[in-house]
Amino acid sequence: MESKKEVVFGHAILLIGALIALYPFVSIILQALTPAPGSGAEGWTLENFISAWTRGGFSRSLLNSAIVAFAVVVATAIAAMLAGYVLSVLKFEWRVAVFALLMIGLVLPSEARIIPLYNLFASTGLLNSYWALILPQIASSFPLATFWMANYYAQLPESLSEAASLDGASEFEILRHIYAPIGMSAVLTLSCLVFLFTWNEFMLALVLMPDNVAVQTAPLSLSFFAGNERTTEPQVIAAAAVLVALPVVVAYFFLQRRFMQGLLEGAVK
Amino acid sequence: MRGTLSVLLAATALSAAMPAIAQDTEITEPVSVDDVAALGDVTLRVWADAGEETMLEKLIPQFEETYPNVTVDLTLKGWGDLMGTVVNAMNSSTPPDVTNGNQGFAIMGTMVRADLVRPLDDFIDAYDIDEGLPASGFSSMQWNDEGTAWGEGDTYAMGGATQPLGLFYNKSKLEELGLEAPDSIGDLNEALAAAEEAGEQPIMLGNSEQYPLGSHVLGILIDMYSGVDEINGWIAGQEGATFDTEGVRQALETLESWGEAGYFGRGYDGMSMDDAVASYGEGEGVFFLGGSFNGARLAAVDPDAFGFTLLRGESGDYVTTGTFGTPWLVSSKTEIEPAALAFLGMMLSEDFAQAYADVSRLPNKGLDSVTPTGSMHEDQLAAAERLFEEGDFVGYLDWATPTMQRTMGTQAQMLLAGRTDVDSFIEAVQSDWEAYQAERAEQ
Amino acid sequence: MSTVDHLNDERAPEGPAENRRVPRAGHFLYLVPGFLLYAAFCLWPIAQTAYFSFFRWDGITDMRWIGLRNYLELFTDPLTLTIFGHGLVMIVFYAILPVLIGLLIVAIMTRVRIRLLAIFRTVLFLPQILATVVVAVAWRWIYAYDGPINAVLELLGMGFLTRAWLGDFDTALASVGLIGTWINFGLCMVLFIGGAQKIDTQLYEAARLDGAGPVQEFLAVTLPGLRGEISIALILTVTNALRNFDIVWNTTAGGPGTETLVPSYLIYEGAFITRNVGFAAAASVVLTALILVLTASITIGLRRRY
Repeated sequence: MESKKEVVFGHAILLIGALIALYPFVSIILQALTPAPGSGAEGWTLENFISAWTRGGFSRSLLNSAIVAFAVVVATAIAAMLAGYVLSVLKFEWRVAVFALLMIGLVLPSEARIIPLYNLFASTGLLNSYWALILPQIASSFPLATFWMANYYAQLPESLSEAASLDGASEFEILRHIYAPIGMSAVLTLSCLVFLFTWNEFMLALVLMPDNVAVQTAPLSLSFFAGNERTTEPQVIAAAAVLVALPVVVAYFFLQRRFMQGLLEGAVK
Repeated sequence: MRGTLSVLLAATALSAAMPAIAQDTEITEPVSVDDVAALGDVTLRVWADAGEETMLEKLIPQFEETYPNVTVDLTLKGWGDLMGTVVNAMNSSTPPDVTNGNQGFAIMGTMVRADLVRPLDDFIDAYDIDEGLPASGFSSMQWNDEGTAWGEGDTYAMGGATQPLGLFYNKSKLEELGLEAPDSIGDLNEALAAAEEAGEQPIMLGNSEQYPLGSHVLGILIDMYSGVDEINGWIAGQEGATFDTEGVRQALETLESWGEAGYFGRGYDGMSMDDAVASYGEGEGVFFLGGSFNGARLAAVDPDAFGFTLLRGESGDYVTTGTFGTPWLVSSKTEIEPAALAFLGMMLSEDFAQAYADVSRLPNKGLDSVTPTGSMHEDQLAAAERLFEEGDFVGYLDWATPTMQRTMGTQAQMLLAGRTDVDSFIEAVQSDWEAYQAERAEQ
Repeated sequence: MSTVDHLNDERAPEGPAENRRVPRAGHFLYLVPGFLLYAAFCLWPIAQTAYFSFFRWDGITDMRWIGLRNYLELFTDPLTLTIFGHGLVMIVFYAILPVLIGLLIVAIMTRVRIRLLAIFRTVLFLPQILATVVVAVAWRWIYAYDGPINAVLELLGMGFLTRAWLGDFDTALASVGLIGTWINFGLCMVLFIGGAQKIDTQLYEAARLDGAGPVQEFLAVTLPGLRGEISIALILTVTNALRNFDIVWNTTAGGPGTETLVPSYLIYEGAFITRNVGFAAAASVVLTALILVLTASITIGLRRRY
């Protein structure tokens, strides 16, 4: 089926793309391994990583980021499966209005809600808590996730639910036993995206976690170095950047293997 | 139309006046260990710019040892993060007791207007903080009660280590060129021409953040050609002040001519200030116009390779843009005021000065007694001493209005690219200024 | 959970399958968990922001009602038009180019068996993973006067083209835009790969039996099969193009001159630098409305076309 020319051409394009994608990343890693001025080290060194790790409080902030991202991903996935199901399979009567309403949240610049959110959490005493990051991010991920699931479910053949419903299964049972399992691959891709957005979210963390080091997230640790204008340390900034990105890169590398393998066969489950 | 509208609105506007918060206690002498001990076991919450990290690492253990009943809870943030969050934090029900802030209407002005910070005049008197320091350095921290004008009124803040703008020079390059270190703007102009002729890049600049060309470089030039009061009056928004002065014109024309002569090299708008300082440290460029705070990075490369000097302006005096350092403020809501004042007292004391000097900074107290890190630091200490003795501080141009940093930065880039001229530059800046004065008048 | 079950049990079990799709009140319960949070933490804040836009406010002291003046200021400032114009240019770089590149990559992946696919997929997605601050720093070096791009140009004998790409009035906007292209093409690719998984292989086999070449196959099978994903990709990237701020802030700060000022800059400046919260709120409302109009047109446009 495949011609030699296509194989070579295809790989060439991918290779170029990969090099372009990789170059800045590599330059950052190299920078992170370079001794900072004034350091006694020669050749490559890990001291920038050690400096970033201890001064940025990464052992704590990476864990916090993981907690927040995990909570947001799970809650969003559940809420979106329910909402996506009702909006696509059940043809909810106000669906157009609901989609329009969701659209607002999908496009909202995060600066546009930050001050009201600050006031809300300040008045409820939830500033500097995980809730202040988790709740708004479930809310802002919900529109995308719902569109995503609705879009996925809408493309499945209607016969799927009809058979089950003839067997007397309830709507919820159909969702739980048929649509939820089938939608797992969509949920997982979606979860990757939501995880990523949540992991890198900076503005909300900056404003809503003003002074509790125990709950601050990894982007704040990075910003501690990147935003330091008096004594800038590009090598340590680079090391901090690698620390923030590494868990996601590793996770993505292992996850995508499992969840996207169907592509080559173009298979539908 | 806008005028009519604003008159109508001003007439109906709610008055923003708030009852002034009575100061807890004015102090007349330094807080004693007993005063602080009387608080019982307490936590002192401190917010600081990440640039203060090394200083605080030394201060906090010393403070906790002297005042064993106090535990310091430190939150460090990068500059931008700090300025984006500090006003809200000070306004919250759990404000830090002591924090860094910034001069100008947006940060300090808002905090004074909302009565979030405690005046420090009594503290300054009790600890003799102002002894030997030029009064011009305090004006940027003095505000009227409404927080709408600065330059006089109560003093709300104080910095620990002065940060004058000045001229860095590469010693070996000057030697190769057979030049002395410049002492005045006239000297500098000659040296720049000589450097250019010898094929060196005269000035290293990294301006990708629209900064520091319109801020530090232009600021220094304006200091050279203007009267101190004239320019400070304009920055503070005095009625009838104008940016259209002979001195400003001369400064802009000089900047333009530097650009035309190619003194800044190529690609400066695509390089960050950090990268420029790094390149300068590696030996690119003869001069660097910047703040003493850029020196720590250079000293880390080689503490003796560079020199630093202030310049005499046309008036013959040392005049430069600068401050006593990133200002420290005390919350008006603090419940452990003695501890907060004792913390600042220790930080600003002569005994603690060496801790600043160890990282090539310039402590306001003890410029002449500390041990420098190298010859460049020695130059900087001497320059600061000269400034305190015979010179004057000018404010930063961007304190003039909340949007001025962008306006100046934008215009300066356009001027050097030949996309605007001196007249339009002045007009753009003055119209930003006037718009803000009109807005201020409404408050 | 049991409530939902219960309510759904009330539907007539004996009805024919088609009637089962008749909407019923109980269905709205599926929306409740998500919408409660969504209303509290998205809709309510934006409503408040809209309210703030009629005031002069520093975020702390008393608010002062000024009617539509923030909007008047926004619409009468000639710079506003420039800034929103830059936003539209950003859409080309942040949305249209990445979608085209993403489609190209997926087209290749559906044609041939790619060796080391897992590695390619991970690598191509890397740009999306890095924090934007870091992306900005890395690209500043790449675009610098003594950076790799100019070095390559010199090697190719095109030294006359060299410049500080981000600091040049003529190239700054496009240079910043290309960073956006770089960030987003991985996202588009992942979306499209996910979508391509669902396309029935029989469609490809049928197309190939009909003698379709790579282009026809792409146009007849892959593209229509991906329309949902293309729509989502465009909505995400257009939104990203118009609200993204970090990249500009950390590469050019809007310069040189005003060449790279973008709409979200106005919001950030008002909310965090000048503390002109009312103006920032007005700018948020206008920007949100603009993005809504654009994304709605995309959704409707893509639905009609196929």
